[in-house]
Amino acid sequence: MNTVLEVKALTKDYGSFRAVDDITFSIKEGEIVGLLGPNGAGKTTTIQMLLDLITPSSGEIRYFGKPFPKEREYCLSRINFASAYTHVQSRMTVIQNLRIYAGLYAVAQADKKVEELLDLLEIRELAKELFWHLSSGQKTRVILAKALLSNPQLLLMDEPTASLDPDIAKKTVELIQTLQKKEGVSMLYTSHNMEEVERLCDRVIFLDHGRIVAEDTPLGLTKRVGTSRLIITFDGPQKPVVRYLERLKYTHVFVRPQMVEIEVSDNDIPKALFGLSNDGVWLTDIEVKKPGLEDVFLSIAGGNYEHTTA
Amino acid sequence: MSTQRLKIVLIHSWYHFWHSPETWVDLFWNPALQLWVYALIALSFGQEGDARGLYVVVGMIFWQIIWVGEYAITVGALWEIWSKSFSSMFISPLSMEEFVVGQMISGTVKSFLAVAMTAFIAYWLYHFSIFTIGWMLPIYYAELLVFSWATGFVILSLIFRYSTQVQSLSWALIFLVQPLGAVFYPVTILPESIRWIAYALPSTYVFETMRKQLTGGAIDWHALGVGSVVNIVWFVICWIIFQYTYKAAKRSGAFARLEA
Repeated sequence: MNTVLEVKALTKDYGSFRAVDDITFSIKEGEIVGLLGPNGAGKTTTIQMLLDLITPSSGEIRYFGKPFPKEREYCLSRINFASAYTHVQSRMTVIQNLRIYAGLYAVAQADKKVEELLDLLEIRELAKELFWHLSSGQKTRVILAKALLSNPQLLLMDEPTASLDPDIAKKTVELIQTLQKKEGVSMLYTSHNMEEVERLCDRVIFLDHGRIVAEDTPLGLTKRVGTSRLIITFDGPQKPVVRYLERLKYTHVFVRPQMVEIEVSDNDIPKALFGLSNDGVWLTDIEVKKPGLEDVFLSIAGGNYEHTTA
Repeated sequence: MSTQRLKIVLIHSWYHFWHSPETWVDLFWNPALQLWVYALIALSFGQEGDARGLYVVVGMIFWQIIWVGEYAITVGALWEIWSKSFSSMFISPLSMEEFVVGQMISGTVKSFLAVAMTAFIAYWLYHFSIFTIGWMLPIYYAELLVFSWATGFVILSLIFRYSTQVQSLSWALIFLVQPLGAVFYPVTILPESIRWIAYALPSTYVFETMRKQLTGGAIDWHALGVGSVVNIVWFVICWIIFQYTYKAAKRSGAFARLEA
Protein backbone atom coordinates (compact mmCIF):
# COMPACT_ATOMS: atom_id res chain seq x y z
CA MET A 1 0.00 0.00 0.00
CA ASN A 2 1.17 3.50 -0.81
CA THR A 3 1.89 5.99 1.90
CA VAL A 4 -0.40 9.02 1.65
CA LEU A 5 1.07 10.97 4.57
CA GLU A 6 4.51 10.81 6.05
CA VAL A 7 5.46 12.92 9.06
CA LYS A 8 9.07 12.93 10.23
CA ALA A 9 10.40 14.50 13.43
CA LEU A 10 7.70 17.19 13.39
CA THR A 11 8.24 19.74 16.15
CA LYS A 12 6.55 22.98 17.13
CA ASP A 13 7.95 25.36 19.71
CA TYR A 14 6.22 28.47 21.02
CA GLY A 15 9.13 30.20 22.68
CA SER A 16 10.32 27.83 25.39
CA PHE A 17 7.11 25.77 25.28
CA ARG A 18 7.23 22.69 23.04
CA ALA A 19 3.70 21.98 21.80
CA VAL A 20 4.65 19.11 19.47
CA ASP A 21 7.80 17.18 20.18
CA ASP A 22 9.56 15.27 17.44
CA ILE A 23 6.63 13.17 16.23
CA THR A 24 6.98 10.68 13.39
CA PHE A 25 4.17 8.67 11.86
CA SER A 26 2.64 7.76 8.53
CA ILE A 27 -0.74 6.86 7.05
CA LYS A 28 -1.19 4.28 4.33
CA GLU A 29 -3.75 4.29 1.57
CA GLY A 30 -7.23 3.40 2.88
CA GLU A 31 -6.13 3.49 6.51
CA ILE A 32 -7.98 5.34 9.29
CA VAL A 33 -5.62 6.54 11.98
CA GLY A 34 -6.87 8.03 15.24
CA LEU A 35 -4.93 10.85 16.83
CA LEU A 36 -5.83 10.96 20.51
CA GLY A 37 -4.66 12.62 23.64
CA PRO A 38 -5.77 14.83 26.51
CA ASN A 39 -6.41 18.55 26.01
CA GLY A 40 -3.15 20.32 25.21
CA ALA A 41 -1.50 17.11 24.00
CA GLY A 42 -0.71 18.70 20.63
CA LYS A 43 -3.39 17.11 18.40
CA THR A 44 -4.81 20.34 16.99
CA THR A 45 -1.37 21.91 16.53
CA THR A 46 -0.30 18.79 14.61
CA ILE A 47 -3.34 18.97 12.34
CA GLN A 48 -2.85 22.71 11.81
CA MET A 49 0.75 22.07 10.74
CA LEU A 50 -0.50 19.35 8.40
CA LEU A 51 -2.78 21.97 6.81
CA ASP A 52 -0.17 24.76 6.60
CA LEU A 53 -2.08 26.94 9.05
CA ILE A 54 0.91 26.80 11.41
CA THR A 55 4.53 26.66 10.30
CA PRO A 56 6.47 23.87 12.05
CA SER A 57 9.67 24.71 13.93
CA SER A 58 11.32 21.68 12.36
CA GLY A 59 10.50 18.36 10.74
CA GLU A 60 9.13 17.16 7.49
CA ILE A 61 5.65 16.56 6.06
CA ARG A 62 5.13 14.67 2.79
CA TYR A 63 1.81 13.99 1.10
CA PHE A 64 1.86 11.34 -1.63
CA GLY A 65 5.63 11.60 -1.60
CA LYS A 66 5.64 15.37 -2.24
CA PRO A 67 7.11 17.83 0.28
CA PHE A 68 4.59 20.07 2.03
CA PRO A 69 4.06 23.01 2.00
CA LYS A 70 6.58 23.37 -0.83
CA GLU A 71 4.12 21.56 -3.15
CA ARG A 72 1.17 23.24 -1.43
CA GLU A 73 -1.28 23.32 -4.34
CA TYR A 74 -0.60 19.70 -5.38
CA CYS A 75 -1.02 18.43 -1.82
CA LEU A 76 -3.99 20.55 -0.72
CA SER A 77 -5.98 19.70 -3.83
CA ARG A 78 -5.74 16.00 -2.84
CA ILE A 79 -6.61 16.26 0.85
CA ASN A 80 -9.46 17.87 2.76
CA PHE A 81 -10.47 18.72 6.27
CA ALA A 82 -13.61 18.60 8.39
CA SER A 83 -13.98 19.87 11.92
CA ALA A 84 -16.75 20.84 14.27
CA TYR A 85 -14.90 24.12 14.82
CA THR A 86 -14.26 25.19 11.24
CA HIS A 87 -17.17 26.32 9.12
CA VAL A 88 -18.01 27.68 5.70
CA GLN A 89 -19.26 31.22 5.05
CA SER A 90 -22.32 31.69 7.27
CA ARG A 91 -23.86 34.42 5.06
CA MET A 92 -24.04 32.19 2.04
CA THR A 93 -26.47 29.37 1.28
CA VAL A 94 -25.40 25.76 1.48
CA ILE A 95 -25.35 25.35 -2.29
CA GLN A 96 -23.44 28.59 -2.80
CA ASN A 97 -20.81 27.45 -0.33
CA LEU A 98 -20.50 24.06 -1.99
CA ARG A 99 -20.15 25.67 -5.43
CA ILE A 100 -17.46 28.02 -4.12
CA TYR A 101 -15.41 25.19 -2.64
CA ALA A 102 -15.94 23.07 -5.74
CA GLY A 103 -14.42 26.00 -7.66
CA LEU A 104 -11.49 26.42 -5.26
CA TYR A 105 -10.69 22.71 -5.58
CA ALA A 106 -11.28 22.82 -9.37
CA VAL A 107 -13.70 19.90 -9.10
CA ALA A 108 -14.55 18.41 -12.49
CA GLN A 109 -18.29 18.43 -13.23
CA ALA A 110 -18.80 20.48 -10.09
CA ASP A 111 -22.59 20.81 -10.32
CA LYS A 112 -23.03 17.04 -10.66
CA LYS A 113 -20.73 16.42 -7.70
CA VAL A 114 -22.58 18.99 -5.55
CA GLU A 115 -25.90 17.34 -6.44
CA GLU A 116 -24.54 13.90 -5.51
CA LEU A 117 -23.35 15.13 -2.14
CA LEU A 118 -26.62 16.91 -1.38
CA ASP A 119 -28.29 13.51 -1.76
CA LEU A 120 -25.61 11.46 -0.04
CA LEU A 121 -25.59 13.65 3.06
CA GLU A 122 -29.36 14.18 2.96
CA ILE A 123 -29.09 17.96 2.85
CA ARG A 124 -30.96 18.64 -0.39
CA GLU A 125 -33.78 20.40 1.46
CA LEU A 126 -31.16 22.70 3.05
CA ALA A 127 -29.53 23.69 -0.23
CA LYS A 128 -31.03 27.18 -0.29
CA GLU A 129 -30.74 27.83 3.44
CA LEU A 130 -28.14 30.25 4.73
CA PHE A 131 -25.44 28.32 6.61
CA TRP A 132 -25.96 30.27 9.84
CA HIS A 133 -29.62 29.20 9.93
CA LEU A 134 -28.66 25.52 10.25
CA SER A 135 -28.52 23.38 13.39
CA SER A 136 -25.19 21.90 14.58
CA GLY A 137 -26.02 18.52 13.06
CA GLN A 138 -26.96 20.07 9.72
CA LYS A 139 -23.79 22.17 9.72
CA THR A 140 -21.71 19.05 10.34
CA ARG A 141 -23.24 17.39 7.30
CA VAL A 142 -22.55 20.46 5.16
CA ILE A 143 -18.94 20.53 6.38
CA LEU A 144 -18.62 16.86 5.50
CA ALA A 145 -20.04 17.58 2.05
CA LYS A 146 -17.45 20.35 1.65
CA ALA A 147 -14.72 17.95 2.73
CA LEU A 148 -15.84 15.30 0.24
CA LEU A 149 -16.32 17.64 -2.73
CA SER A 150 -12.77 17.25 -3.94
CA ASN A 151 -12.76 13.43 -3.77
CA PRO A 152 -9.87 13.64 -1.29
CA GLN A 153 -7.40 10.81 -0.98
CA LEU A 154 -6.81 11.82 2.62
CA LEU A 155 -9.33 13.36 4.97
CA LEU A 156 -8.23 15.08 8.17
CA MET A 157 -11.03 15.17 10.72
CA ASP A 158 -10.76 17.13 13.95
CA GLU A 159 -13.56 16.11 16.31
CA PRO A 160 -16.18 16.08 13.56
CA THR A 161 -18.90 14.91 15.94
CA ALA A 162 -18.19 17.31 18.82
CA SER A 163 -21.29 19.18 20.01
CA LEU A 164 -23.64 16.79 18.19
CA ASP A 165 -26.52 14.92 19.80
CA PRO A 166 -25.64 11.23 20.33
CA ASP A 167 -28.02 10.07 17.60
CA ILE A 168 -26.68 12.57 15.03
CA ALA A 169 -23.11 11.73 16.08
CA LYS A 170 -23.87 8.03 15.55
CA LYS A 171 -25.30 8.74 12.10
CA THR A 172 -22.25 10.84 11.23
CA VAL A 173 -19.87 8.05 12.25
CA GLU A 174 -21.90 5.57 10.20
CA LEU A 175 -21.67 7.92 7.26
CA ILE A 176 -17.90 8.24 7.65
CA GLN A 177 -17.63 4.44 7.77
CA THR A 178 -19.74 4.08 4.65
CA LEU A 179 -17.67 6.68 2.82
CA GLN A 180 -14.44 5.02 3.82
CA LYS A 181 -15.67 1.65 2.58
CA LYS A 182 -17.08 3.12 -0.65
CA GLU A 183 -14.28 5.52 -1.56
CA GLY A 184 -11.33 3.98 0.28
CA VAL A 185 -10.37 7.38 1.67
CA SER A 186 -7.51 7.48 4.17
CA MET A 187 -8.27 9.43 7.33
CA LEU A 188 -6.58 11.04 10.26
CA TYR A 189 -9.23 11.28 12.94
CA THR A 190 -9.26 13.05 16.29
CA SER A 191 -12.08 12.72 18.78
CA HIS A 192 -12.73 12.68 22.49
CA ASN A 193 -15.27 9.93 21.92
CA MET A 194 -13.27 6.75 22.45
CA GLU A 195 -16.08 4.47 21.35
CA GLU A 196 -16.13 6.29 18.02
CA VAL A 197 -12.38 5.93 17.61
CA GLU A 198 -12.45 2.24 18.50
CA ARG A 199 -15.16 1.70 15.94
CA LEU A 200 -13.54 3.67 13.12
CA CYS A 201 -9.79 3.49 13.42
CA ASP A 202 -7.39 0.83 12.17
CA ARG A 203 -4.60 2.33 14.24
CA VAL A 204 -4.41 4.84 17.06
CA ILE A 205 -1.66 7.29 17.95
CA PHE A 206 -1.72 8.67 21.48
CA LEU A 207 -0.14 12.04 22.09
CA ASP A 208 0.74 13.42 25.48
CA HIS A 209 2.65 16.64 26.12
CA GLY A 210 3.36 16.83 22.40
CA ARG A 211 4.95 13.38 22.15
CA ILE A 212 3.72 10.08 20.77
CA VAL A 213 3.34 7.89 23.84
CA ALA A 214 1.60 4.93 22.24
CA GLU A 215 0.81 3.69 18.77
CA ASP A 216 -1.03 0.47 18.00
CA THR A 217 -4.35 -0.97 16.90
CA PRO A 218 -7.23 -0.15 19.30
CA LEU A 219 -7.18 -3.80 20.47
CA GLY A 220 -3.40 -3.78 20.94
CA LEU A 221 -3.60 -0.65 23.06
CA THR A 222 -6.41 -1.88 25.28
CA LYS A 223 -4.60 -5.17 25.91
CA ARG A 224 -1.86 -3.19 27.59
CA VAL A 225 -4.06 -1.69 30.28
CA GLY A 226 -4.63 -4.91 32.21
CA THR A 227 -7.79 -6.17 33.80
CA SER A 228 -11.45 -6.36 32.91
CA ARG A 229 -14.21 -5.41 35.33
CA LEU A 230 -16.71 -8.05 36.37
CA ILE A 231 -19.96 -6.61 37.68
CA ILE A 232 -22.05 -9.09 39.61
CA THR A 233 -25.52 -8.65 41.04
CA PHE A 234 -26.50 -11.24 43.66
CA ASP A 235 -29.26 -12.20 46.01
CA GLY A 236 -28.69 -12.60 49.72
CA PRO A 237 -26.14 -11.25 52.20
CA GLN A 238 -22.82 -9.58 51.31
CA LYS A 239 -20.79 -11.60 53.80
CA PRO A 240 -19.99 -14.71 51.68
CA VAL A 241 -19.15 -12.48 48.72
CA VAL A 242 -16.72 -10.36 50.75
CA ARG A 243 -15.19 -13.48 52.30
CA TYR A 244 -14.57 -15.07 48.89
CA LEU A 245 -13.17 -11.91 47.26
CA GLU A 246 -10.86 -11.20 50.20
CA ARG A 247 -9.66 -14.78 50.24
CA LEU A 248 -8.63 -14.54 46.59
CA LYS A 249 -7.38 -10.92 47.01
CA TYR A 250 -9.51 -9.50 44.21
CA THR A 251 -9.78 -5.71 44.19
CA HIS A 252 -13.46 -4.93 44.45
CA VAL A 253 -15.99 -2.27 45.29
CA PHE A 254 -19.66 -2.57 46.21
CA VAL A 255 -21.62 -0.34 43.83
CA ARG A 256 -24.84 -1.18 45.71
CA PRO A 257 -25.42 -3.56 48.66
CA GLN A 258 -26.16 -6.37 46.19
CA MET A 259 -23.87 -5.32 43.35
CA VAL A 260 -20.10 -5.66 43.35
CA GLU A 261 -17.51 -4.59 40.77
CA ILE A 262 -14.40 -6.80 40.68
CA GLU A 263 -11.13 -6.18 38.87
CA VAL A 264 -10.14 -9.48 37.33
CA SER A 265 -8.00 -10.76 34.46
CA ASP A 266 -9.88 -12.31 31.52
CA ASN A 267 -8.59 -15.78 32.43
CA ASP A 268 -9.87 -15.52 35.99
CA ILE A 269 -13.47 -14.60 35.09
CA PRO A 270 -14.83 -18.23 35.01
CA LYS A 271 -12.93 -19.05 38.20
CA ALA A 272 -14.41 -16.07 40.03
CA LEU A 273 -17.94 -16.88 38.87
CA PHE A 274 -17.73 -20.60 39.79
CA GLY A 275 -16.02 -19.77 43.08
CA LEU A 276 -18.77 -17.39 44.17
CA SER A 277 -21.43 -19.84 43.05
CA ASN A 278 -19.76 -22.73 44.94
CA ASP A 279 -19.65 -20.56 48.07
CA GLY A 280 -23.42 -20.33 47.92
CA VAL A 281 -23.82 -16.88 46.36
CA TRP A 282 -26.94 -16.68 44.20
CA LEU A 283 -25.86 -14.69 41.09
CA THR A 284 -28.74 -12.84 39.41
CA ASP A 285 -26.82 -10.80 36.82
CA ILE A 286 -23.32 -10.80 35.36
CA GLU A 287 -21.67 -8.11 33.26
CA VAL A 288 -18.09 -8.12 31.97
CA LYS A 289 -16.56 -4.75 31.08
CA LYS A 290 -13.47 -5.14 28.92
CA PRO A 291 -10.89 -2.34 29.00
CA GLY A 292 -11.44 0.16 26.19
CA LEU A 293 -9.59 3.08 24.68
CA GLU A 294 -11.14 5.22 27.38
CA ASP A 295 -9.13 3.25 29.95
CA VAL A 296 -6.02 3.76 27.83
CA PHE A 297 -6.83 7.47 27.63
CA LEU A 298 -7.37 7.76 31.38
CA SER A 299 -4.23 5.77 32.02
CA ILE A 300 -2.22 8.13 29.78
CA ALA A 301 -3.81 11.24 31.24
CA GLY A 302 -3.01 9.87 34.70
CA GLY A 303 0.58 9.17 33.69
CA ASN A 304 0.28 5.41 34.34
CA TYR A 305 0.79 4.21 30.80
CA GLU A 306 3.92 2.46 29.62
CA HIS A 307 5.20 4.50 26.64
CA THR A 308 5.52 2.13 23.75
CA THR A 309 4.72 1.96 20.08
CA ALA A 310 3.80 -1.16 18.17
CA MET B 1 -1.83 33.04 -9.18
CA SER B 2 -4.78 31.10 -10.63
CA THR B 3 -7.35 33.12 -12.58
CA GLN B 4 -9.89 30.36 -11.94
CA ARG B 5 -9.54 30.77 -8.17
CA LEU B 6 -9.56 34.58 -8.49
CA LYS B 7 -12.87 34.25 -10.31
CA ILE B 8 -14.18 32.06 -7.47
CA VAL B 9 -13.12 34.65 -4.86
CA LEU B 10 -15.06 37.28 -6.81
CA ILE B 11 -18.17 35.08 -7.02
CA HIS B 12 -17.78 34.41 -3.29
CA SER B 13 -17.60 38.15 -2.67
CA TRP B 14 -20.77 38.71 -4.72
CA TYR B 15 -22.72 35.93 -2.96
CA HIS B 16 -21.66 37.34 0.40
CA PHE B 17 -22.48 40.92 -0.55
CA TRP B 18 -25.93 39.86 -1.71
CA HIS B 19 -26.77 38.23 1.65
CA SER B 20 -25.24 40.93 3.90
CA PRO B 21 -27.37 44.06 4.30
CA GLU B 22 -24.78 45.40 6.79
CA THR B 23 -22.35 45.74 3.90
CA TRP B 24 -24.90 47.72 1.87
CA VAL B 25 -25.28 50.07 4.83
CA ASP B 26 -21.51 50.51 5.18
CA LEU B 27 -20.88 50.98 1.50
CA PHE B 28 -23.95 52.90 0.35
CA TRP B 29 -26.20 54.17 3.12
CA ASN B 30 -23.49 55.83 5.23
CA PRO B 31 -21.69 57.46 2.26
CA ALA B 32 -25.02 58.65 0.84
CA LEU B 33 -25.99 60.32 4.10
CA GLN B 34 -22.52 61.81 4.52
CA LEU B 35 -22.55 63.22 1.00
CA TRP B 36 -26.02 64.63 1.56
CA VAL B 37 -24.86 66.45 4.71
CA TYR B 38 -21.58 67.58 3.16
CA ALA B 39 -23.30 68.87 0.01
CA LEU B 40 -25.68 70.92 2.16
CA ILE B 41 -22.76 72.25 4.23
CA ALA B 42 -21.07 73.16 0.95
CA LEU B 43 -24.20 75.05 -0.13
CA SER B 44 -24.20 76.92 3.18
CA PHE B 45 -20.79 78.34 2.28
CA GLY B 46 -22.36 80.37 -0.48
CA GLN B 47 -22.86 80.02 -4.21
CA GLU B 48 -22.31 76.74 -6.00
CA GLY B 49 -18.76 76.74 -7.26
CA ASP B 50 -17.42 78.37 -4.11
CA ALA B 51 -14.00 76.76 -3.67
CA ARG B 52 -14.58 75.72 -0.06
CA GLY B 53 -17.86 73.99 -0.88
CA LEU B 54 -16.33 72.34 -3.90
CA TYR B 55 -13.41 71.01 -1.82
CA VAL B 56 -15.78 69.41 0.66
CA VAL B 57 -18.00 67.78 -1.98
CA VAL B 58 -15.15 66.52 -4.16
CA GLY B 59 -13.25 65.34 -1.10
CA MET B 60 -16.23 63.31 0.07
CA ILE B 61 -16.84 61.69 -3.34
CA PHE B 62 -13.22 60.64 -3.75
CA TRP B 63 -12.92 59.65 -0.11
CA GLN B 64 -15.20 56.72 -0.99
CA ILE B 65 -12.45 55.17 -3.11
CA ILE B 66 -10.03 55.10 -0.16
CA TRP B 67 -12.69 53.92 2.27
CA VAL B 68 -14.24 51.19 0.11
CA GLY B 69 -10.91 49.87 -1.24
CA GLU B 70 -9.53 49.45 2.26
CA TYR B 71 -12.83 48.14 3.65
CA ALA B 72 -13.09 45.44 0.98
CA ILE B 73 -9.75 43.93 1.96
CA THR B 74 -10.00 44.11 5.74
CA VAL B 75 -13.71 43.56 6.31
CA GLY B 76 -13.70 40.97 3.50
CA ALA B 77 -11.24 38.94 5.61
CA LEU B 78 -13.10 39.70 8.85
CA TRP B 79 -16.36 38.31 7.49
CA GLU B 80 -14.57 34.99 6.94
CA ILE B 81 -13.02 35.11 10.41
CA TRP B 82 -16.40 35.85 12.01
CA SER B 83 -17.88 32.93 10.07
CA LYS B 84 -15.03 30.62 11.15
CA SER B 85 -14.50 29.96 7.46
CA PHE B 86 -11.18 31.77 6.98
CA SER B 87 -9.09 28.66 7.64
CA SER B 88 -11.41 26.56 5.45
CA MET B 89 -10.46 28.77 2.53
CA PHE B 90 -6.73 28.44 3.09
CA ILE B 91 -6.68 24.69 3.53
CA SER B 92 -7.91 24.59 -0.06
CA PRO B 93 -5.43 25.37 -2.84
CA LEU B 94 -6.38 29.07 -2.53
CA SER B 95 -3.37 31.19 -1.57
CA MET B 96 -3.42 34.33 0.57
CA GLU B 97 -2.24 36.35 -2.44
CA GLU B 98 -5.18 35.12 -4.52
CA PHE B 99 -7.60 35.96 -1.72
CA VAL B 100 -6.21 39.47 -1.28
CA VAL B 101 -6.08 40.21 -5.00
CA GLY B 102 -9.68 38.98 -5.24
CA GLN B 103 -10.69 41.42 -2.50
CA MET B 104 -8.82 44.22 -4.28
CA ILE B 105 -10.79 43.60 -7.48
CA SER B 106 -14.02 43.26 -5.55
CA GLY B 107 -13.22 46.52 -3.74
CA THR B 108 -12.64 48.25 -7.06
CA VAL B 109 -16.09 47.24 -8.28
CA LYS B 110 -17.73 48.26 -5.01
CA SER B 111 -15.90 51.60 -5.06
CA PHE B 112 -17.30 52.29 -8.57
CA LEU B 113 -20.79 51.79 -7.17
CA ALA B 114 -20.14 53.97 -4.09
CA VAL B 115 -18.53 56.74 -6.16
CA ALA B 116 -21.31 56.62 -8.76
CA MET B 117 -23.94 56.98 -6.05
CA THR B 118 -22.20 59.82 -4.19
CA ALA B 119 -21.41 61.55 -7.49
CA PHE B 120 -25.11 61.38 -8.36
CA ILE B 121 -26.08 62.95 -5.01
CA ALA B 122 -23.44 65.67 -5.49
CA TYR B 123 -24.88 66.44 -8.93
CA TRP B 124 -28.45 66.48 -7.63
CA LEU B 125 -27.83 68.69 -4.56
CA TYR B 126 -24.78 70.72 -5.50
CA HIS B 127 -24.86 70.56 -9.30
CA PHE B 128 -21.30 69.33 -9.38
CA SER B 129 -20.52 66.83 -12.13
CA ILE B 130 -17.64 64.47 -11.48
CA PHE B 131 -17.02 64.48 -15.25
CA THR B 132 -15.77 68.06 -15.10
CA ILE B 133 -12.53 66.42 -13.93
CA GLY B 134 -12.28 64.98 -17.45
CA TRP B 135 -9.61 62.50 -18.44
CA MET B 136 -7.76 63.02 -15.15
CA LEU B 137 -10.58 61.16 -13.41
CA PRO B 138 -9.17 57.61 -14.01
CA ILE B 139 -5.70 58.77 -12.96
CA TYR B 140 -6.91 60.20 -9.64
CA TYR B 141 -9.09 57.14 -9.20
CA ALA B 142 -6.22 54.70 -9.76
CA GLU B 143 -3.90 56.60 -7.41
CA LEU B 144 -6.43 56.58 -4.58
CA LEU B 145 -7.32 52.93 -5.18
CA VAL B 146 -3.69 51.82 -4.92
CA PHE B 147 -3.35 53.81 -1.69
CA SER B 148 -6.51 52.20 -0.29
CA TRP B 149 -5.16 48.71 -1.00
CA ALA B 150 -1.88 49.53 0.72
CA THR B 151 -3.64 50.72 3.89
CA GLY B 152 -5.81 47.59 3.68
CA PHE B 153 -2.66 45.42 3.74
CA VAL B 154 -1.36 47.16 6.87
CA ILE B 155 -4.65 46.93 8.75
CA LEU B 156 -5.04 43.27 7.79
CA SER B 157 -1.49 42.70 9.03
CA LEU B 158 -2.49 44.18 12.39
CA ILE B 159 -5.47 41.80 12.53
CA PHE B 160 -3.19 38.83 11.77
CA ARG B 161 -0.80 39.98 14.48
CA TYR B 162 -3.26 41.05 17.20
CA SER B 163 -6.36 39.06 16.14
CA THR B 164 -9.91 40.40 16.13
CA GLN B 165 -9.34 42.50 19.24
CA VAL B 166 -8.09 45.18 16.82
CA GLN B 167 -10.84 44.61 14.25
CA SER B 168 -12.34 48.06 14.77
CA LEU B 169 -9.24 49.48 13.09
CA SER B 170 -10.81 48.24 9.84
CA TRP B 171 -13.37 51.01 10.17
CA ALA B 172 -11.48 53.52 12.28
CA LEU B 173 -7.83 53.73 11.29
CA ILE B 174 -8.40 54.85 7.72
CA PHE B 175 -10.20 57.97 8.99
CA LEU B 176 -6.83 59.31 10.17
CA VAL B 177 -6.21 60.02 6.50
CA GLN B 178 -9.09 62.53 6.41
CA PRO B 179 -7.50 65.18 8.66
CA LEU B 180 -3.87 64.31 8.00
CA GLY B 181 -4.18 63.75 4.26
CA ALA B 182 -5.95 67.07 3.66
CA VAL B 183 -8.91 65.41 1.98
CA PHE B 184 -11.25 68.42 2.39
CA TYR B 185 -8.87 71.39 2.58
CA PRO B 186 -5.47 72.49 1.31
CA VAL B 187 -2.41 71.15 3.11
CA THR B 188 -1.51 74.69 4.15
CA ILE B 189 -4.44 74.64 6.58
CA LEU B 190 -2.63 71.98 8.64
CA PRO B 191 -0.22 73.13 11.37
CA GLU B 192 3.21 73.36 9.86
CA SER B 193 4.68 70.81 12.29
CA ILE B 194 2.52 67.99 10.91
CA ARG B 195 2.46 68.87 7.22
CA TRP B 196 5.23 66.34 6.59
CA ILE B 197 2.73 63.61 7.53
CA ALA B 198 0.38 64.88 4.85
CA TYR B 199 3.18 64.79 2.29
CA ALA B 200 4.04 61.22 3.31
CA LEU B 201 0.51 60.17 2.24
CA PRO B 202 0.00 59.65 -1.51
CA SER B 203 -3.63 60.76 -1.28
CA THR B 204 -2.56 64.31 -0.36
CA TYR B 205 -0.97 64.85 -3.79
CA VAL B 206 -4.11 63.62 -5.53
CA PHE B 207 -6.46 65.90 -3.59
CA GLU B 208 -4.11 68.88 -3.92
CA THR B 209 -3.80 68.41 -7.69
CA MET B 210 -7.54 67.87 -8.05
CA ARG B 211 -8.41 71.01 -6.08
CA LYS B 212 -6.00 73.06 -8.15
CA GLN B 213 -7.47 71.69 -11.37
CA LEU B 214 -11.08 72.31 -10.32
CA THR B 215 -10.44 75.90 -9.29
CA GLY B 216 -9.06 76.72 -12.71
CA GLY B 217 -5.37 76.11 -12.25
CA ALA B 218 -3.13 73.95 -14.40
CA ILE B 219 -2.58 70.31 -13.55
CA ASP B 220 0.45 70.05 -11.31
CA TRP B 221 2.22 67.13 -12.96
CA HIS B 222 5.18 67.47 -10.68
CA ALA B 223 3.04 67.02 -7.56
CA LEU B 224 1.19 64.13 -9.18
CA GLY B 225 4.50 62.50 -10.16
CA VAL B 226 5.84 62.81 -6.62
CA GLY B 227 2.54 61.42 -5.35
CA SER B 228 2.85 58.41 -7.67
CA VAL B 229 6.35 57.66 -6.42
CA VAL B 230 5.18 57.97 -2.79
CA ASN B 231 2.26 55.70 -3.69
CA ILE B 232 4.50 53.01 -5.16
CA VAL B 233 6.87 53.14 -2.18
CA TRP B 234 3.89 53.04 0.21
CA PHE B 235 2.36 50.07 -1.66
CA VAL B 236 5.59 48.06 -1.74
CA ILE B 237 6.35 48.69 1.95
CA CYS B 238 2.80 47.78 2.99
CA TRP B 239 2.88 44.59 0.87
CA ILE B 240 6.21 43.57 2.45
CA ILE B 241 4.77 44.25 5.95
CA PHE B 242 1.72 42.17 5.04
CA GLN B 243 3.76 39.22 3.76
CA TYR B 244 6.07 39.35 6.76
CA THR B 245 3.20 39.52 9.26
CA TYR B 246 1.30 36.70 7.55
CA LYS B 247 4.33 34.41 7.74
CA ALA B 248 5.05 35.49 11.34
CA ALA B 249 1.39 34.80 12.30
CA LYS B 250 1.70 31.29 10.87
CA ARG B 251 4.90 30.75 12.86
CA SER B 252 3.46 32.09 16.12
CA GLY B 253 0.12 30.27 15.72
CA ALA B 254 -1.76 33.61 15.71
CA PHE B 255 -3.13 32.90 12.22
CA ALA B 256 -4.65 29.57 13.27
CA ARG B 257 -6.13 31.21 16.39
CA LEU B 258 -7.89 33.98 14.45
CA GLU B 259 -11.21 32.13 14.53
CA ALA B 260 -10.94 31.11 18.18
